Amino acid sequence: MMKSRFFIAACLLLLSVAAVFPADLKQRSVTVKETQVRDKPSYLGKVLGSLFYGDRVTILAQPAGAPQGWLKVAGPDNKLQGWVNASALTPTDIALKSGSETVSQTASSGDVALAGKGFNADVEAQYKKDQNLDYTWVDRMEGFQIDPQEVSLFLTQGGLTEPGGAQ
Amino acid sequence: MKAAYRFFLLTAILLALCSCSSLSPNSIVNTAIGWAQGNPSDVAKVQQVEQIVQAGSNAAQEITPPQEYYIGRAVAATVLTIYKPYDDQNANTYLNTLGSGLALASVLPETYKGYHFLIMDTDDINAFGAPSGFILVSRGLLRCAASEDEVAAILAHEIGHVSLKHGLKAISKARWTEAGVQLGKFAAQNSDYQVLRDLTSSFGNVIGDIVKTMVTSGYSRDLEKQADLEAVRILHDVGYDPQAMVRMLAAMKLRLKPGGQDFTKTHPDPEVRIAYVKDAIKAQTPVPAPSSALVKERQARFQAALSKI
Repeated sequence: MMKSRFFIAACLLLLSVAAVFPADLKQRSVTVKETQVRDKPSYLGKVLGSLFYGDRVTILAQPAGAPQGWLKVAGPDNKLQGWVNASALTPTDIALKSGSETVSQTASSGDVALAGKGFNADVEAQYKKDQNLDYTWVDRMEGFQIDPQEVSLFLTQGGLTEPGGAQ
Repeated sequence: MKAAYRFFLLTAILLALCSCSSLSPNSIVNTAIGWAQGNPSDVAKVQQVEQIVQAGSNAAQEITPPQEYYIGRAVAATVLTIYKPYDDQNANTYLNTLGSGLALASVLPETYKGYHFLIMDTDDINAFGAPSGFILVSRGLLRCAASEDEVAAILAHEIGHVSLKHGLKAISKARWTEAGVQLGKFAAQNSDYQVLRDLTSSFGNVIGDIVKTMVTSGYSRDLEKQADLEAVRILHDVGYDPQAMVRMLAAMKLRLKPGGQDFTKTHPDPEVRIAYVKDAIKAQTPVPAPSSALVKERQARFQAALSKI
């Protein structure tokens, strides 16, 4: 009785999945240039490794009591497991051709963001030329990179709370 | 085995329901996974987390983070044709350290290449939160701040605009349609120079819409209120005094000149903002007052960085 019910449910599931889902739904893509995988759901957590734009991760079971905004994931090939901030992930598949956000793509699907499609470095170069725009200070601005440990120290010395630091 | 059976059965039932409901396939499978594991609250958390992160993205579905990044760069470069940068390494580093800490408490702690802050060399009281985290703040506005907590209030408001993607919401509907067509063409035949030119033209129009809104017409009162309330939340969560927002707005009220081309033109009257900010603060649990040593520490680094501003 149990076996037959299991069989019917499994068949129903397979049929429905084939009809509704285009891809693996426990997967997410990294949507920022680089993000860190940490041993705790906090920016204070030890960095275990990095993931890069377009990398696919698998969402693991979420331990009870985890703070808002963090997801436990496994990186490509399950090699890297830990916590990533949800703002660095998207359910959309990102089709990379060779690991760069500027490369052209051939795939096309509503569920796939084509990396390199649309406004990219080529468009910026053309726009910069057309408008005679100076990006010197925008590049310098991007150079203002503060080490996360310095940010942490700044907050601590000021008697402030690092968000997610309670974990 | 029992868990697997529960998973299959529940997923099958939920999928059947899916065809006549507005539930997304993602949420259904995640719910099923959670139930199979006997822990629906954790899965609800995944959904909740993603809903919060994506809350600001509705108007910007077509724009991926790398594209948002190139838009942000172009908006910042354009604003810097109006206002010159203030080349003070010490002051800019202070702003970036403070701002990076605040951004961690936003609904979007990570953008494509992070948040960056730059001071604009002008007496105007002005600031811009360009897409993807390019935040520009004027010397005139920073002069309104008498403490680190008040600088934090300025930056938190701009981080609010960025994290809620207000810049992208300034792009007109017609522009989205036009850009959509160009993006499609580019995907199909991206080696075509004419297509690149068309796309660049579309890109320019998008930048034009955003700059016009940020510099000339201003965001709607509703979006300004959203950024203010997000700022009050960020200040509270990091441990700054949310009342610093009220003090900043009061200082601005005194300094803004009638007919000015800055916040006078693009932002609601500070009195209006103060009223709802005070209400939001009342609804929060109070932030414990810092010790006199901590006040001294914050004031010392604020003075060291911005006394010449």
